[in-house]
Amino acid sequence: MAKNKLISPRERLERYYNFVSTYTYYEQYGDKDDYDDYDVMGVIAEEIARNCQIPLDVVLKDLKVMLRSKASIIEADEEYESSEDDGGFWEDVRDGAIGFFTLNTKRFLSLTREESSIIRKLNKASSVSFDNNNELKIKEAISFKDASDDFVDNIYTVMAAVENGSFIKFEYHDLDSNRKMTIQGVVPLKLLYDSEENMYGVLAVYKKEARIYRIDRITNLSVKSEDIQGAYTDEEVTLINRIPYIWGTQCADDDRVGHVKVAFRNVGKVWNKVKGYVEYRENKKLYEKGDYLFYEDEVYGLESFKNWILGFGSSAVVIEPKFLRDDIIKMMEERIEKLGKEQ
Amino acid sequence: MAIVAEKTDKLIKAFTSGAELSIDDIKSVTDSRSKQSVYNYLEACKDAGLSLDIIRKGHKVFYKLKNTIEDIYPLMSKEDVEKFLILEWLRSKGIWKKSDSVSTDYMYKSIIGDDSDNSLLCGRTHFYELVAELKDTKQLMSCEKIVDGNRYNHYWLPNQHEDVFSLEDFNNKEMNTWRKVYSIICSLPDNHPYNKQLNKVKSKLGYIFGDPGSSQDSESYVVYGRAYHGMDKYDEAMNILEKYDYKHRALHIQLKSKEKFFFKLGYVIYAMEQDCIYLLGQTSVHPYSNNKKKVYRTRILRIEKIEAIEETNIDNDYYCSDEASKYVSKMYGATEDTIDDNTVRFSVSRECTGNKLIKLKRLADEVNGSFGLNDNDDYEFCGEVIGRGNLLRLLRQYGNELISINQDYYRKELVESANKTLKHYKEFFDGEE
Repeated sequence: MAKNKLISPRERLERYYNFVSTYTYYEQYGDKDDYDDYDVMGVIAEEIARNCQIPLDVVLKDLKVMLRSKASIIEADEEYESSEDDGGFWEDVRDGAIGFFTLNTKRFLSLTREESSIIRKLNKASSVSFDNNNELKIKEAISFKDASDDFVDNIYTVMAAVENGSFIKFEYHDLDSNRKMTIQGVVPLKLLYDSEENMYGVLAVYKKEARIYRIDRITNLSVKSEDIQGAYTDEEVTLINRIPYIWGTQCADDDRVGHVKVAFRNVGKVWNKVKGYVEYRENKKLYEKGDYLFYEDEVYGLESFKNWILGFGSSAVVIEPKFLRDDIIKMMEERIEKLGKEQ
Repeated sequence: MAIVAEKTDKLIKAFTSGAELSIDDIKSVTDSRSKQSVYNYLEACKDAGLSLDIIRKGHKVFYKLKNTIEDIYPLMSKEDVEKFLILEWLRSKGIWKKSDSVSTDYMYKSIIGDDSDNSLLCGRTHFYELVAELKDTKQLMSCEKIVDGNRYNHYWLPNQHEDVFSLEDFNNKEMNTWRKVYSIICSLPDNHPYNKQLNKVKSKLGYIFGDPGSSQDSESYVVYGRAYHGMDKYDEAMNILEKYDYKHRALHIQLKSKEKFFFKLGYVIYAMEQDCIYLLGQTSVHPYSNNKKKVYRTRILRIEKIEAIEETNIDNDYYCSDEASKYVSKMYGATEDTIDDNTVRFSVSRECTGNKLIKLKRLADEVNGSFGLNDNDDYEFCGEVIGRGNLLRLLRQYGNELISINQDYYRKELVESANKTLKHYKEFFDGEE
């Protein structure tokens, strides 16, 4: 969070212009297309202050300078004429009795190429129409495809339910059975985001068991009216304590927190990749010894962790836990048997 | 959100009037019930520029404004407004590119001159000083242009603003669309791959919707996974490219490895998996002009590997072309390895479920391939994939669930990787013991 932030005159001007340009037409009048000839009324100083989050005293001083500089923000009724002694006028402006400010110039929302490319990725949900082709393309296997209306509504609903301590009810698409199941009485604890997989989930307790539900598989989400009463249950506390150890969104309820120790060989950019991947891990230990980079952590969600390790191919050697090591060795042997025969 | 803004404003007013407020006082000012809400409001005050002192009186903690209002909101001068109006004029004319740059004289005549409907009043010398200050503070880009044998400075706005929307022309539907974009952005977590860029869009939209300091909803998240920084290097990359007319002319490129070739840029690519900026283009070691039969190949370059660039007078007919676009549509991430367009076909066991299944569906979406059950009741992918390294990385995650793959390259790599893995495990544990 920014501290001792300075709100420069330029930034304030941007805020004033942006706000005044849109508020004037649409908040006051509705759709511009509905009006053949619409008068500009403008907004009062207090509204500018509130919406631009600048103290009223500062806004008043700024407006004085802007009017004297003949800036494009004007006083709609043109009552203001600069004079040495204009105290009375500004007192009335402060009270909102007079002074309706508006803009006598066009205002633009401009997007840089990278911003535009990203919004195009969001476009499926947003339907913003772009005129230009864009030379910057974003390629990703994990994409914004999930930023649909339902998805965003689900995120906000879960956020509110977590904050207010409410139960949630929803339909969940089970990929294994390809069926939708109605689930109710779920206690949501936290939203989860895995940037490696671009997956959103909700960590929750259902029937006294830990669950992670993926947001993109949730439909018909609703908040139950009655709030969860009292403090967290033991199951919820256990789950909350596990939060720093979660890896991926595949943690089954019977999955335990396991100690992992992996040695990574210094091949290509493997070390850099590992360091980047574990940047957000709170309890990690990362150290170089001999020819290896060692990574140690407590992990809840070993299935997801195993997939991550497999992505490194022969550059990663799992030391602990032993069952994971054995599992990987068995998988490699099976792969050689299966694909080696075809060669 | 508007209510939160209103309450934050009330709290800011209380602090700026000199009040010392306890947690209970803040609860009362903001009509909050929980301590967490109080802390959220205090964070919002800090975001608005307030720096707060914590004072302890007995068992009670009080918050008080540390800095003065002028520290946070420096006085606005006439020059600040005048400079802003110059930038506004350039924006309204869409002068975002070097090719559209204009002289100071042209700006002066248009903004101040008789033909102008702008009422900004200032003398020519003062106007020139304002433009020079904007240039010095990098709010304007400049170059020299020779007109009739005389050198003139020409100016344009920094950053490539490809898409400019006139707010005045927005109807309610478009306004709602942008509100939706805003709402999506506000719902995303801090470590989202495009967090930095989306925050800039959020801030632009936030001012429009009267919600400039909206609190980070992403604090509701527990985040994990990797951090992404590659997109931040885009400006750096473009600063290099912008010196040349790459859209219309082929470039002559020398890599740090001393390899040299001609290069027609098609697209600039940000590959999320690699977190890097790449250039996709057609290359040839010989000039293209005069001999269209010269051999060329499509290549993906990492911008960091480029040592020197020269502009040629050969036309670039590949820039944003359909052919380039076709390549992009087959790319799975981006890698500098050989680009081949042989069809990849592989099958994975029906037992494969959950995220692993989703990843294969996403692969099919990304490269316009097909994915579904085959005659043996296994899942099968089929499509042209550019990006061997990424596909291999994906396939490695399937372990023994991968049943067959048609291309020798992938089969050999996967078997070799499995052999190497076993060898390394053996070596490592033999060494340990």
